[in-house]
Amino acid sequence: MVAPSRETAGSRSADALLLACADGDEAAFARLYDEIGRSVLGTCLGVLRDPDHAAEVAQEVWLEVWRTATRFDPSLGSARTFAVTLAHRRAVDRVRSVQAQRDRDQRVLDASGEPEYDVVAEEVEAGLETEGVRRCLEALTPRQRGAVVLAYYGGRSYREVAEELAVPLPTVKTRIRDGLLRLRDCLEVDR
Amino acid sequence: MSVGDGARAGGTGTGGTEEDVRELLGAYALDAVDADERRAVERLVARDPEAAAELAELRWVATRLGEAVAADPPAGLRDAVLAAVRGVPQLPSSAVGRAGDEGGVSGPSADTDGLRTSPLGDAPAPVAPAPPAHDGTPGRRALRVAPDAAPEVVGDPSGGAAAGGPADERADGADEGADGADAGRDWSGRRAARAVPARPGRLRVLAVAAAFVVGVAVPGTLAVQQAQRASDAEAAQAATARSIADLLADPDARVVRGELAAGGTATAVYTADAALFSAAGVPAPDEGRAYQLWVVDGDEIRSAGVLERDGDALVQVVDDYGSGALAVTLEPSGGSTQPTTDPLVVLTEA
Repeated sequence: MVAPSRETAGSRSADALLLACADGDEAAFARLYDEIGRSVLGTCLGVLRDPDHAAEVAQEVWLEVWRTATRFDPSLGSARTFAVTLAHRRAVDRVRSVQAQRDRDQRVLDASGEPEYDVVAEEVEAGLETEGVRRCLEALTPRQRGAVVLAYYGGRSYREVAEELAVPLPTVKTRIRDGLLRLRDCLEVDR
Repeated sequence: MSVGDGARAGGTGTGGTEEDVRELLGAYALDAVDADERRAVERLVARDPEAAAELAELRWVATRLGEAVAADPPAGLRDAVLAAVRGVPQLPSSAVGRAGDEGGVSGPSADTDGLRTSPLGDAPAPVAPAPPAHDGTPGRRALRVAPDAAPEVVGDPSGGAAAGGPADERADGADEGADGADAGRDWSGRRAARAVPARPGRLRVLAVAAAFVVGVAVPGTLAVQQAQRASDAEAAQAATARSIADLLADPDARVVRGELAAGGTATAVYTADAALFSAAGVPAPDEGRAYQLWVVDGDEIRSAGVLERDGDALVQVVDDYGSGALAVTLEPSGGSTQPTTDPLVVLTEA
């Protein structure tokens, strides 16, 4: 379990704010937005690339944060994790729904497209503003990094990652899991 | 696209070993699994503290990845967000309520407010909650579909789920301004009409799209309110209502929409265990015919019941949903054992 002690002071205050939201405290919600609004928007933008889509999804996410604040349990993870996890999930939902429509007529075209991994990796590299994450991503094996970056920032399912990187499914699962655990060990230093 | 594939469902849903599922924890933490796999992981995490602990760690890592690309929100988003939540009720804190918390509060639980929110917040024709029970209307039917003008429609439970759900793109994407202003207006419109007391922090049972229930009470904690209004019949309905509320309150619920070939809009809310089907604007079937709901799971098609039309709406809870798609066909009025016509709509969980 993530011990609360690992979280930063800022994180604890976000926790307190989200707990207050659960009691209907709209002022606390506004402060929570100020506290982690950049993370939520950035997470959406990281996956969606399109600022308009990202803003749309972020707004949906914030509504959901408000609605589900009553379910927040700090012993299971921080408020930041709560909100950013939700943001990522909704952004990925959006990507997949867009894809689902596009795929109907573009599957063939897409199949002939160039591997997008380089594009994703480049953009992520350029956008990373947290030195610790940059350093720890670099500390992964290239294969782990590829799988993690494509899945998280590329919004790909692990099946898609497997296809794009042309590796078997179990391999991708393992790369993602091992990569994340290694990232944890690396990032833990900064906790 | 990548979901609902029957062969795959079998792969992880039934044939997967616990170790296989455990191996998916990383992909799950990155939202890189399909619906069946997600359920499998959630079942594992629910019963295995070790897996839950690992997932918490992995989510922490994923969150760092998200935070690492933090970016300034566009001007206007903050105001739109704050305006959008004003007065919007929140989910009950857990499916069964927190009895302990309730005990410390003498005021009425929000449960007594009845079911007021709609998970299908942006559905073209939201099914609205029935009026509060104290007006004496708790009808015989557990499911009561109100006209979309009903004022109590407020929220959108798994809400964002609705908004962000796979099939929403069409329905919502175009409607919401890029800066969220339109969505804000939408919500504020509902806000103006809301009839929910300003006690958002208290438990408040949600209704769905359908409104289903009126005067649901939580046994034990709400004895007074119950005595005031609950008849035995209502008590019987409470279980149904509760299951709908739970279903909609599930933060992981997925919402899928589609148009019926016959006319009308169908919405399915999928959770790990159950599904809720609703449709609005549906024309009356020809004499001697009825709409029937099906669960299509790979090669298996099983009936989820003949749908009773209420106004132009259809509502059905599928308790033993499991997995697969929901589909509607026109059948002879008693229903069929297997579909005899082409589906009017197929809602595939994504």
